[in-house]
Amino acid sequence: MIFDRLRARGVLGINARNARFISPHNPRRLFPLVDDKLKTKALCKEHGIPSPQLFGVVDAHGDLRSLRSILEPYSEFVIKPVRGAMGNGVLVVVGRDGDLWVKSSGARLDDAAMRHYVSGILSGLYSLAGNTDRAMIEYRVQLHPTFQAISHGGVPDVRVIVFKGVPALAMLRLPTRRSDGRANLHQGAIAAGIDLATGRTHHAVQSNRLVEIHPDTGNRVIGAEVPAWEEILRIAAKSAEITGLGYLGVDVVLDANLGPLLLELNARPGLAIQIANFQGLLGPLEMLERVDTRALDTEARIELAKRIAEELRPSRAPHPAPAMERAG
Amino acid sequence: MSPRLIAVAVSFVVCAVALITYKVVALGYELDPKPAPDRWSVQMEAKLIGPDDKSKVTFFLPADGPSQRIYDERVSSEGMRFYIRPKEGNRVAVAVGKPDEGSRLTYRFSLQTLPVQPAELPKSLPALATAEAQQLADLLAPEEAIQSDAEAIQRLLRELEIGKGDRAEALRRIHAYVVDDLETTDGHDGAQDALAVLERERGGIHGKARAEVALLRAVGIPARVVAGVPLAERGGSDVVFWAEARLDGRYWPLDPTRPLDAPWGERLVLHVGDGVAIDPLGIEKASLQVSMLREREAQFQIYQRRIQNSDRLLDKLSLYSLPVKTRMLYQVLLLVPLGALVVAVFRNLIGVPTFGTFMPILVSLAFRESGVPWGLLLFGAVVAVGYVGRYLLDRAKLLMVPRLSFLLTLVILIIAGMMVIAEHLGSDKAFSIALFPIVIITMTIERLSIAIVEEGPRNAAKLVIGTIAVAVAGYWVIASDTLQHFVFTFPEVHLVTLAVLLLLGRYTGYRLSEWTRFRAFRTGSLES
Repeated sequence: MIFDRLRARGVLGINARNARFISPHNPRRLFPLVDDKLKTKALCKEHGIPSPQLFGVVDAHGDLRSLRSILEPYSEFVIKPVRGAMGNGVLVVVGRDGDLWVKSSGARLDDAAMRHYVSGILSGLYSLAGNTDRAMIEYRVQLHPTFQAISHGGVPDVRVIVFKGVPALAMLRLPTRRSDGRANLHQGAIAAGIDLATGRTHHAVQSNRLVEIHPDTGNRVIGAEVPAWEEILRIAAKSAEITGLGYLGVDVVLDANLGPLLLELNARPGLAIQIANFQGLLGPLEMLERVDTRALDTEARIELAKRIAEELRPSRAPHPAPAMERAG
Repeated sequence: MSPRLIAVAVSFVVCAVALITYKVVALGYELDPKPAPDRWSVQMEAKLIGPDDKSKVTFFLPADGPSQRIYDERVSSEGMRFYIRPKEGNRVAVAVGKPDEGSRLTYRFSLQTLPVQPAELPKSLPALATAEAQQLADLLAPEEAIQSDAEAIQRLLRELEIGKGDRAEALRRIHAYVVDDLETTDGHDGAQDALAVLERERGGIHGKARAEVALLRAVGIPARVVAGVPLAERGGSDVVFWAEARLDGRYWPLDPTRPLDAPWGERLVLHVGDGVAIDPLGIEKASLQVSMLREREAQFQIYQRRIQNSDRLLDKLSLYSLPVKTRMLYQVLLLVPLGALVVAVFRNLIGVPTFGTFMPILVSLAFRESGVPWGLLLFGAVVAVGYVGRYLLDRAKLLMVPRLSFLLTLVILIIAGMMVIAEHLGSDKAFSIALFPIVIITMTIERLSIAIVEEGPRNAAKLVIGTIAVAVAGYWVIASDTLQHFVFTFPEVHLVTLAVLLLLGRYTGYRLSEWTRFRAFRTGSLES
C-alpha cells in the first residue's frame, strides 16, 4: 500500500483523528466551552488558570456607540471575535495617535473604521459558521524577550496536543514577515517542534520546508529553550481536565511580565504539528490509549508525557521501554 | 472496523440485491429498459423568403396513421393566420397573411411511432386478382406526374424483361433498377415526373419515387408515393419521398435510393400520395426543415402504464404510482444520495477541500439545469464577482448582509446579461441558465467572500477548484439518464448506498491528499 510508510512512522490522518480520537473522546456538548472564547476565559478564571485579562465585550450593533468609551482607558489591546477560528479577525492595537488607534502594522484607524471593523465581527464575518458573533477586547500580550530574536511582527504561541489529560506533542509557532506577524502556519509562520521532556525546539518547518534560522531575524530557531516550560505543560494538562475534552489543542502565549497565559482551546486541533516535530502523533496517542490517566494527578501526567517523549525521541531508544506500565 | 457494522452493511447489500433480483426475475422489470415505442419531439419549420402582401403557404402536416400518433401540437405563425385542413386523407397546414421577410412558421408536436410487425417479402406472388385490382384501382391508375400508362414505360419494362406473372419478382427487379440504374440528384436537374426521370435515367428522390411507383403500377402492383422524414437522434432533415407497394395485404416501403435489405429505421410519415411538401403562393422561395429529438420520458410512461394495471404489492409500492409532477421531483431527488456518496469519497478518501459539505451537490444540480460549460462559465463569473466585489466593497465599508445582497444583485444582472448575449450570438441550444438555482448562487457568494477573508485568497481558490471538481464528478452521476432510470425503478439500491456510507464513515485510513501533505514522512526528510 502507498500509505505503508506513513503508517510505519505513526502519522495520524484526518479520518483517524476524527473517528478514533475526537469523536469518542470529545463529547459534542462540550464543544461550546472551547468554541466560545468567553466561556473558556470564565472557566480559566474559575480554576485559576492565567489568561489575558478581558477589557470588554461588544454584544450587538447597538453597543457600537459606546465602543469609544470601552476602549478609552487602554492604549493597547486586542479585538477578536468570540467564536473566531485560526486567529481570523484578530485586530491588534499597539498604541494611540491622538484620537486614532495604531495597528501593529502601523496603519491608523479612526472611530468610524474601528466601528466598521467591530461591526464585521458582529455580523459573523469571521465566525465558524457565519452566524452573528460578539467581539471581545482583551489585554495585548507582550513579547517575551527570549522570543525577540526568533519572531517578527507578532507574538509566538505554543500549541500543545493533550490526550486524556497528558501532553502528547507540542510546537512553537513563530510569526514571520510572510505570515504578517500572525502565528498562523497556513500563512507562512514557522512551526518548531518542541521536545516535551526538555522544552527545547528540536526541528522546524516553514510551509513544509525545513528551516534552521528565522528568515527575518537570521537567528537559529532550533535549540531555543521555551521559558516557563513546566508551567506551560501544567496549563495544558489542566485545561484538558477542566473542560473534560479528551483530545484537545491548547494554545499558550508567553507574556513578558505575566508568564504563560492560556490563549484559546481547540477541540479539533490540526495535524501540522506532526510535520513540525517530524514525528507522528499515533506513537504517543496509542501508548496513552492503553493507560488509565484518570488516576493520575497533574504532575504525574506531566511526568508520563515526558517519559513517553523520551522514549519516542527519534534519535534514541531502539527498544522502547513500556512507559505506561511504569506509570501504572 | 467493528464486525457488527460490517454485518449491518452486508445485510443491507444482500437485501438490495435480493429485492432487485426479485423485481427483475419475478416481476419482469428491466435493468436497462428498451425505449420502445419511441416518443419524439418534432419541429417543422417553414422559412419564407421574399413574401409579398398576400402570401399563402400550404405544407404537409403529419396525421395519425398505422405507424404513428401525433399529439401535443403547438404552432407559432408570426402573425399569419394558420389553419389545418384535412385533404384526401392527409392534413395540410395553410398560413395566410402578410409575413415579414425571413419569417418562420413553426409547428411543433410530439410523435409516438407505433411498432410495425416485421415481415419478409414473399418469394413469389401471382398476378393480382381482378376483384382486388378493382378495389385498389386508385393505386394502379396513372397520375399527372406518375405516367404509368405511357408507352415508354411499357417499352422499358420489356427491355428490362420484367413481366407481370410474378409480382414479388417484378417488385425486386424494379426496385433494383431504380436504386442501381437511376442516378440520384439533388432534384434540380429538370422535370421530376416519372417519365422525365426514366428518360434521363437520373432524378431527385421525389422523381425517383414517382418513377418507381409508375413502374410498379405498370406491372399491376398497387403503389403510391409517400413523403416523410427519417427520424434520427438529435437530427434534422429535409422531407424525403419513397414508394409504397401493396402486396399480400400490406404496404411495403421502398426507398428509391437504398436496396431492399437496407435497414428501414423509423420514419415520420407526412403525406400519403403524390404532392409537393411545401407550396408557397406569392412568395419567392420557401423551404421546409424538420428537426427532432428523442423524448426520454417514454421509458417512464411504459412502466407507469404497466404498473397502474398491476395489482401486485411491489408494483403498487413503486414510485411509478406517484403523480407526474411528484415523480419528476423524485427522479432527481433519488440521485442526490449518489451525489452525496461522491462527495464523501472525494472528501474522506481523496481529501478534496470544498465549500460546505453539500455545496458541491447543489452546484451539480445547477449544472444539470445549465449544462457543464455554461455552468462553469457562470460559476467563474460568480467567483470573479466575489473577488472583485470584495475588494471594491471593502472600501465602501458596507455591513455584511447589504454587502452580500449587493453582490447577489450584481450576479443576477450578470446572468441576465449573459442570457441576452447568448441570445444575440444565436445560441440555438437549449439554454436554460435562468434555471440555475438562485439560492445556490447566493450561497456560493457568501461562502466565497467568507473564505477569502478567513482563509486567504490562496486557500479560497483551492476551495473553489475543489468544489468545481467534486461538482463536475457529481454531475456525471446526477445527470445520467441511465442511473436516473435505474434508481427510480429500483430505489432499494440506496440500501447499498447506505452500506457504503456506513463503511466509509468508519474508514480511519489516510486520505490521498495526506500522501503529499505528509510526504516528508515517506521520504524520510523534509526538503530545505
